[in-house]
Amino acid sequence: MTMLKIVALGAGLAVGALTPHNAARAGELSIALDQIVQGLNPQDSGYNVDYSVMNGVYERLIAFDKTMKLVPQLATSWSVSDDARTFTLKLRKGVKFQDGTDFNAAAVKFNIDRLADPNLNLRKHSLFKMVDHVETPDDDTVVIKLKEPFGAMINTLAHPSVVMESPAAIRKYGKDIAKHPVGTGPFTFGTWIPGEKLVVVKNDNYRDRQWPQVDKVTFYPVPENGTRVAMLMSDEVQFVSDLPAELTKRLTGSQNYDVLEKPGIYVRVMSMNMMKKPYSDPRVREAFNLAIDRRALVQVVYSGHAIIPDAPIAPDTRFHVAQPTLKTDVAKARELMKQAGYAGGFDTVLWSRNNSTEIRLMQFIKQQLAQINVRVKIVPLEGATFNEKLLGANVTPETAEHDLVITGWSPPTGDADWHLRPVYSTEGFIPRIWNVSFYSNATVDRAIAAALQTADPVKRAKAYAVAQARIWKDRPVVWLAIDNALAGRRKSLSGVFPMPDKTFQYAHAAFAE
Amino acid sequence: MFKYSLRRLFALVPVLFVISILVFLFVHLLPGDPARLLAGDNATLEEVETVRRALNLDQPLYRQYFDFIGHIANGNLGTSLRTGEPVTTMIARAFMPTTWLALSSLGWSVLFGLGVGVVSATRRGRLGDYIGMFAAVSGISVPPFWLGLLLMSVFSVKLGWFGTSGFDKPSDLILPSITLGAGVAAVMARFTRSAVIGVCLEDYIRTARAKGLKEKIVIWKHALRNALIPVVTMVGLQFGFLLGGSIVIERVFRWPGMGQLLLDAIAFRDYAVVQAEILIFSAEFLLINLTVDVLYGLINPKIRYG
Repeated sequence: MTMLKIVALGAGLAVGALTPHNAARAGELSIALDQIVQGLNPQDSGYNVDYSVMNGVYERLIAFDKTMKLVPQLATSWSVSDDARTFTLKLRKGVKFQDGTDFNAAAVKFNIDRLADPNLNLRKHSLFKMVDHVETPDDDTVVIKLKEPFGAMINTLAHPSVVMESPAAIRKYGKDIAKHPVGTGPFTFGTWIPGEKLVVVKNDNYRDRQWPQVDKVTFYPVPENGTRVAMLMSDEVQFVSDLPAELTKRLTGSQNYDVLEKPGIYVRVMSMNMMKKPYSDPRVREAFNLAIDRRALVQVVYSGHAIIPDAPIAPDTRFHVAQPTLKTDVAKARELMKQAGYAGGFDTVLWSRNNSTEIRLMQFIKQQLAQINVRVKIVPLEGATFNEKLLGANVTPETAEHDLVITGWSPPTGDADWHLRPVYSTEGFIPRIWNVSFYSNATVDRAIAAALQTADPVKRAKAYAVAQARIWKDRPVVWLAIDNALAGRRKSLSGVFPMPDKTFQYAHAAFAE
Repeated sequence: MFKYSLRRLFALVPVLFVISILVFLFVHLLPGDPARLLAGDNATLEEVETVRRALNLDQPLYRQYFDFIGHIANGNLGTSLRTGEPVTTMIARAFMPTTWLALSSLGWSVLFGLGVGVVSATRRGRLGDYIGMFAAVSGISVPPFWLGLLLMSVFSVKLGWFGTSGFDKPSDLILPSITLGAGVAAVMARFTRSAVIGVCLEDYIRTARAKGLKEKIVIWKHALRNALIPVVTMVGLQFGFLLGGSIVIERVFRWPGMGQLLLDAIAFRDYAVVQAEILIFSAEFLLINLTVDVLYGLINPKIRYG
């Protein structure tokens, strides 16, 4: 530390204190993220934040619109064989990667072959393990052949991790592609300082001349909720992802900001370990479902920013079928407990992760279940410890310790398969996937399997209707709420918005004059 | 004196070696599976195993320890499981922001705390004392994250004088140092006050006064110098903690320092980063303790080691 530096520092302090702070410049967008960016290769990531920041750099073959309906992106159309084993996609013509190389059938084949290669250990390999091979009859056509029928393949191609990366860049950087992303999107990678900021800049050669309309986008990871909101209010950022429900009040009614809200696809439940008494008794599970006042829950826990589930999957998930409304009826719940031999209730333990939403949920549930004499001990666990206790390698249905657990699931493919199969099929038993209740029903398993044997939407819808009705009747969980996706945005900004799957889009960002 | 310092410095090496084993065991015995955490939310067991293979976490523990020690011997702290970055690069990036913050917080808070402490001690039981000690108790009691967010909403959001967070220019130091230093200043003030009051009861102070020395000289030269010994110990301790990076302050102010790095690393069980950070904190503490011991000798010639 030289004397000069100290003097400079002192002078800087004085000047900095006197000049009004204004970070926003026209044409530059800044975004505060609720999580830290882990890596810049969506194919090798399981994190929404990584998918979100790469949404402008990379594109997918098929994407989702604002309500999770499939829309063309790099593919213009697609068709499926009756046996759900051959998927043919027509590609957009004249698309180039940001390094100048062509996007064509060979590039798609390169990407899908990579994902399907088990030796590369890519995190999202399991989405493509059923791929047999990929054919490229001409430059604009790709045919994906599967080893076995998989009716949800088109939705799998829309999974936010399934982005098209430049084969030339992958050859050049190898594993380091996660630090040098090269895609076809409207923004090119600028710089990344892990934990501090990520910058992407305008792609001047983007195929659609209308976009992008901002020159530069900077992402700051800001895990602290209050700080994220303060940054928006001081115009240091113009968009805040994942606004916590309790802080929305500070922004609503303001002239400068909008609160963007849309129903999500994350269904929050309380799983009950059905391998254990008393949760093996359907009357107890029904009584628990009847004891919870969900309207109060949405107000108390979410300040109103959630909806009440009407099926095992969310309304925006493909093949959702609304089921009979969940009722609150404490008298009936008490009666069922009495019939089951638990008029005096029992003691039980409830686990969750130690974030504020889940802790509030636990406190609410504890109070509600007290009405039917159930004495709940609530145990908030640090994330890694929670995983270890619930999903550790030695957990089996017979030895699993848990009684009640706050869990939830959101299907990034937007398809019923990747919600029902992980959470409600026998195949999904923890630790393999996410069936925390150990719910196992032959009808449900058969329906879920049958729905994958075909890609015909009518047949699939029918099978999923059967599965949802049965699951709803069996009450393997207490359905709690569907979190709304919330974000804060400066009024002058458009084209940046949250998606139901809790990622966000920014490719069409634009500032009003 | 110099010889003594050098000897003490060498004695730190075996201590650090023992710490390395403890740190390694501590980190690996924490519950939690990095492969599971790094696979992301809603990962399947298959995805978790894929991550485990990709990161060599399927190796036996002793092999992982020898890798860790081997890396250290080569002056390399391994690579982050999370980002694949070399840990040395990550620490190098985080070290200076935290050091700046620690120095600027300690700087104002020690001067301020000493001043308030002495003033309170000399005006014991009078208005100045009450005001000083009221401020000190407030400084200790206010939760730092609340103070931080309060300062941010007044000075950054309402008045627009400073940026809310981050560290891009020197003025970004002001709000976090005020927040971080508030607690330290309060502790210093209380500590100094009681030390000075204690010293003022000594015979040599009465002698100094009896000699007809001015009260200012009695207090600032005779009393304070002798009261400084416990105060210096305290400064050393506080500095050690500050260098560790305040996790709360760094998170609130989005400070790119050691505290945030540690928090993220622990959340993801990023073993290499956690180990490296704890090892560095330990080394810092040992060095600060050594410095404090040397300073004792300078302040009070009676305490000089052979």
